[in-house]
Amino acid sequence: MSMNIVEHRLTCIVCPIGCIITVRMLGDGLEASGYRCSRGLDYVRQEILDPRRIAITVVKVRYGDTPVVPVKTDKPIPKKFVREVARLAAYMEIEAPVELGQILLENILGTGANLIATRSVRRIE
Amino acid sequence: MTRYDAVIIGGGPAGLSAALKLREKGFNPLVIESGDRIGGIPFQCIHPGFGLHYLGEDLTGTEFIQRIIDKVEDQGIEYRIRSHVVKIIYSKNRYPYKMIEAISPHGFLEVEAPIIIYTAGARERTLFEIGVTGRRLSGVFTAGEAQAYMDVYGILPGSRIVIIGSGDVGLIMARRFALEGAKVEAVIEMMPWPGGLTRNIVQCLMDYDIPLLLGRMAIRLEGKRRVEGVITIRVDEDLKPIPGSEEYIECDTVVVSAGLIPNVRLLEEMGLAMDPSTRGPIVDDYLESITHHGIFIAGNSLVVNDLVDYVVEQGESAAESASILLSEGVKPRSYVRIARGRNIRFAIPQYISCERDVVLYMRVQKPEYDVRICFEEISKEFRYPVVRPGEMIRLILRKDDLTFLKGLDRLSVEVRRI
Repeated sequence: MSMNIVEHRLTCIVCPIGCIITVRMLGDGLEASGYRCSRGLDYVRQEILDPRRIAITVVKVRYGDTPVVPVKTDKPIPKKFVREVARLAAYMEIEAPVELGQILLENILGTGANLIATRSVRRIE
Repeated sequence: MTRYDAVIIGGGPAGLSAALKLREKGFNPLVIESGDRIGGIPFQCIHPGFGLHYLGEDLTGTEFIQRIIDKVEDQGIEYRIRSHVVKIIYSKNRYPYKMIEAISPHGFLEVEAPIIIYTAGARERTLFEIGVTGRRLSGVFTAGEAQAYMDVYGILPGSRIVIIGSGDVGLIMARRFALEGAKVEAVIEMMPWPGGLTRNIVQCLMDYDIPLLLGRMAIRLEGKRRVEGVITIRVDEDLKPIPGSEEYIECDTVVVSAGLIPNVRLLEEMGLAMDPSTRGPIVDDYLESITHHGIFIAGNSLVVNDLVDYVVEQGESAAESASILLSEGVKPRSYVRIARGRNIRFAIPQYISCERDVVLYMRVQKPEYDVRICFEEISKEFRYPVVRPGEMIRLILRKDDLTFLKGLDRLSVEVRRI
């Protein structure tokens, strides 16, 4: 029986060393080499099986002292949704005032994360 | 004329944390800020990675600075915005006071204080400083300008972007451009290694398949009114251009991310001793100017930092020193000079009193693996699996170790291979 072996090379970002870690996927198993500590192994496992990021972008604000408000997901979401969040946010428009930490969209794209404001915006008429 | 215990020039993270520390010690500072608001550059940094060391939390720049601003407001610390310091009249002694002259929307501002904490930040290097020729075209921005365009004002500066230099702000902006629908054609870096942090190379470039061209420099911009392309050339080990290796990259926008230079004009006018290796002032371990008593410097105007956490640490440290000076008066000190050796580009502070623990910030000239950073005269060494120019080294020398320096005038530091 032949098995499909996929090899990835990742740079670990847990600490400044930046180990280059080679990961081989053997069916469901994962085999890694080149890491110096267990955090590196955890990092590549997460990166290969379920890569996640905090998504950041800006949302338009009407009557604000700045024309946009920066936003982020309040927890890391699957990496493949990051671009979708930016695209979705481009179509949103809210009204000032906006409070820091205010939830602008709950459970964005079904990820379980909320889109929250990371700055407050004052209202000007 | 208004008198304060200390005047802080610059209301960014260094200045505000210095003001908070002074207030905590019972003093009355004034913060003078030239921008429209206090907070400084983190106001336009919407990405996470702020406060990991200082607060133990991963915040965006905007969230991080809001916490500090809230504390400043709670404490009722006085500040003036849109106020631009034009002159510092320096007196060596605590009395008569130093005088600060500024222009503000409320007219000419004159304040006196025995202490100045200078936290005016840094400015970005421009295209003209990195040897790029060509006409003065539109479509050319510094990374910080592009960041303000996008993340404060919501304007995408272009659609096909070339980034010159691989500093952290440029890398972070590369990701922002890609995410908001622009195409980043390339990031060009003259050195054989990237200028920014590894985590930014991975999460900003690799995640978005943005090419990083190392060992290549931009030499000329092409275009009529707006930039239409960049001519790049490969460089050899001595950073000399290799004729015949020119390549043209089409684009409509150029973003320059070629590093920061401490903003020290006012200090230079006063005649403070400066360090060519940091382009900031020469200080002791109290972060006080070695030539100008009562002037303390912190943050990016002291030395260009990678992390806001270090900036805040320096702000607090300068304020702590200032409060010692305010309550205990002037004490004579003797100094030991930090002598830079192999692969040490700079070390801050440049002089140490050996009276207390010292936080030392350093950068190397080139990357190296498995090294020791050695302090010869005190037989102390620190092992590092890797050192890189893009990642500042912060280490602490203990007072107990420094007592060995009695009678000596220098402490040598160098990077040695294991």
